[in-house]
Amino acid sequence: MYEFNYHRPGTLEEAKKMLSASEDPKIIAGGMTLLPTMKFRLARPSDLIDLGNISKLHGIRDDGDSLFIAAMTIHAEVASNELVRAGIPALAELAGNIGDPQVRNRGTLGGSIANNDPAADYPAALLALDAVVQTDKRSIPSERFLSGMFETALQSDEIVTGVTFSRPKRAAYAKFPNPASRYAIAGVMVAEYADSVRVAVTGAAACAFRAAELEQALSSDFSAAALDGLEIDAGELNSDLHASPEYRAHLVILLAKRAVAAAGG
Amino acid sequence: MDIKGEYHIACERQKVWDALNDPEMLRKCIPGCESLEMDAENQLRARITAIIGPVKSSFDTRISLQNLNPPESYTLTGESKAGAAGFGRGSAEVQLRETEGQTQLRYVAKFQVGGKLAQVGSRLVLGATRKMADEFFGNFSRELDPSALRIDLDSSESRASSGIPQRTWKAAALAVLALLIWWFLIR
Repeated sequence: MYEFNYHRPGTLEEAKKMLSASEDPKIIAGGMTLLPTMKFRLARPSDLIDLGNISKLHGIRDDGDSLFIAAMTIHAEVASNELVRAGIPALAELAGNIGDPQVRNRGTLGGSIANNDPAADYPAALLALDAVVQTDKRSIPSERFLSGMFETALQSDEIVTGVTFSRPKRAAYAKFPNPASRYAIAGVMVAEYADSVRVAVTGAAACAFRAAELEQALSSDFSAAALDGLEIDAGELNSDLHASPEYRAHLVILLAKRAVAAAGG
Repeated sequence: MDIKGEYHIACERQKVWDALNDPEMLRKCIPGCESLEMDAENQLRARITAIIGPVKSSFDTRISLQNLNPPESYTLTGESKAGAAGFGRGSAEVQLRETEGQTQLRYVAKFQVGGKLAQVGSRLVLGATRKMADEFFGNFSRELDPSALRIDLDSSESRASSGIPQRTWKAAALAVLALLIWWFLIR
């Protein structure tokens, strides 16, 4: 790791000031991806601005039809919080299976989505739960926020403050994890709303995406059997030593069925 | 894996060709390019900062232009080594066709990774390369013609494009290498 200056501001305003005053700053939340990258010397920020001390970025709030989770909330807290477990149990379940206990007790919601790793779990929840990402400047719908592989709509001086998740009638997440990293080789979240069904896939392609065909099939019949015979085009899917595109395409349908069954469909 | 692209630029072919061979123009258009110098005839040395996700790393890279057939076509090749992790090697064939005073830019690029890097995932390489190529070509075509059109050749492989691909190509190779090393180490 190279040398860097470490800052721990107490307010968002202070953090923004530090951002604009630093030569090549990087915001750090849990550091679960940034720190290993820095250790490998693949990133060399001049200044790290740690958001951990900003009280505004902590907390979970029930807004009736939706649930607001502040950016610096760690995965372990989302997994165990009573409001989340009661309001959107599938989201608590998803958070409880991210990485390992160390990651779940350091890694944060805001950090994960700002990084937008193609194999991370939260991007699937953002898309399936019709989430809106709140930043210090604006509200960004999840489909616009997740703009590509490791890419988001965030500007360089913009800070995620939290995420608003719409509460579904029922939902579930099923993933096929890499046994070592627990990253999703493929992961599918289904969520049923009064007027629609949303199906989001992560781990399978360069960026999490919604599967329109599966959504259509489930909208008329929310059951695993409704997905029989459907296929996902393997052409755009990831290929690596863990799984071929064809295998991932197979997993997506399989996991979607499991998720529907787990949601009680 | 091949990456193909095509672009329509409202400019004479000779102008596009000149731009493709102008180091200053290339420097401006390659994402993250800090410097680009002509070492010898058709030999370039570039320093490029690749930013993908958490990775931000600078690389020195050498690029050579071969099979020069002005103002119609050339082949761009480049290679980067990533120590024990493996290597990346790329080439791009660029073709310029003149149609009614406008230019059609077409390229076919190939990228190979070897060693441990090859285990990491060709789709990610393709994705990162295509992204860099898109960015480069977009920059390049806007410099020449603010209303330049990108043509989709087919649904999956066509996004990037022609003219500048060589540079693009190289920049892409570097970014991809950084990404792969990082990916490989973290997983």
